[in-house]
Amino acid sequence: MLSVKNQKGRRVVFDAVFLALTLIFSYLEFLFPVSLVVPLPGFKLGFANLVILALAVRWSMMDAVSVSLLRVTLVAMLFGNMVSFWFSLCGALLSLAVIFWGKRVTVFSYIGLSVLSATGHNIGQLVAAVFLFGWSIVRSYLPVILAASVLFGTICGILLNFLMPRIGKVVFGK
Amino acid sequence: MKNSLTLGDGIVIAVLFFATLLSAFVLLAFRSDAQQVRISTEEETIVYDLLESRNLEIVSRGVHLVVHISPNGVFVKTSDCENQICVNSRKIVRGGEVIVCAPAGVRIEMISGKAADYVVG
Repeated sequence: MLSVKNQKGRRVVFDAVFLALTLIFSYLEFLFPVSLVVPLPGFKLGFANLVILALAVRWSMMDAVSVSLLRVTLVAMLFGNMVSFWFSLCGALLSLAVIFWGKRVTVFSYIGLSVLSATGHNIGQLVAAVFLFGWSIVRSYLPVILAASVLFGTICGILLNFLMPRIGKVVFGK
Repeated sequence: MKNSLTLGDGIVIAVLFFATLLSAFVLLAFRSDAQQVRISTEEETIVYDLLESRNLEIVSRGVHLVVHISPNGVFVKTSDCENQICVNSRKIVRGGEVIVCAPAGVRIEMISGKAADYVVG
């Protein structure tokens, strides 16, 4: 049985590993954007959010929040700017709120939760854009955002549904 | 957590799918022919008519953009912003369509109206 001090240390290391994983995914999405294949400029597959979702469901919501907010900050510092930080922060906060609610409702698999999380993230970014650019962009961007949320959220959810039964216990230990 | 598709998943996907269709319908149904383009930066907002083709150079928040305006539509030709989303966005043609360059704080919106150039704000 680990001591309390060792448990805290283990948790910090665990979160750091997951933070590094989200940064790797974020960097790969930055290098290879979806727009290379599909004409959706600015959209990403969301693999970094996939990590956050796995962390929230199988480990702890608090750790998922910490890793998510740290990721947003570091990604903005490394690959972005203040505007991208603002967009990512709004998206991350709404996404986390949706994941928190989705976990409690317990009627979703990873697919439903991933779709909801993606939608929350994109709507959060749209809200940030409305603050900067006004309501007129909602009409133009909302259909694309919703379609992308369903598409990419489903892809990530299917991946999680496949991976978690196979590696979940090894990675999370429970 | 269930590992296969559930009824809840299906409901969420169906609701979002129909929301997508509805918002796309609203976008397409209420589009109108554009006669002007409104370009807004932090400092000013200018409306240009689309009667003749021209390139506009805009500098905002240290980002330099070139916007091409023509009767066939408006698009961002070049930008030195990092993510190039504005450059990769498709040309806007109808009223209400928007291109945004977030790092530059620039919004380009097609509007319907009489041909005139004037400063709004």
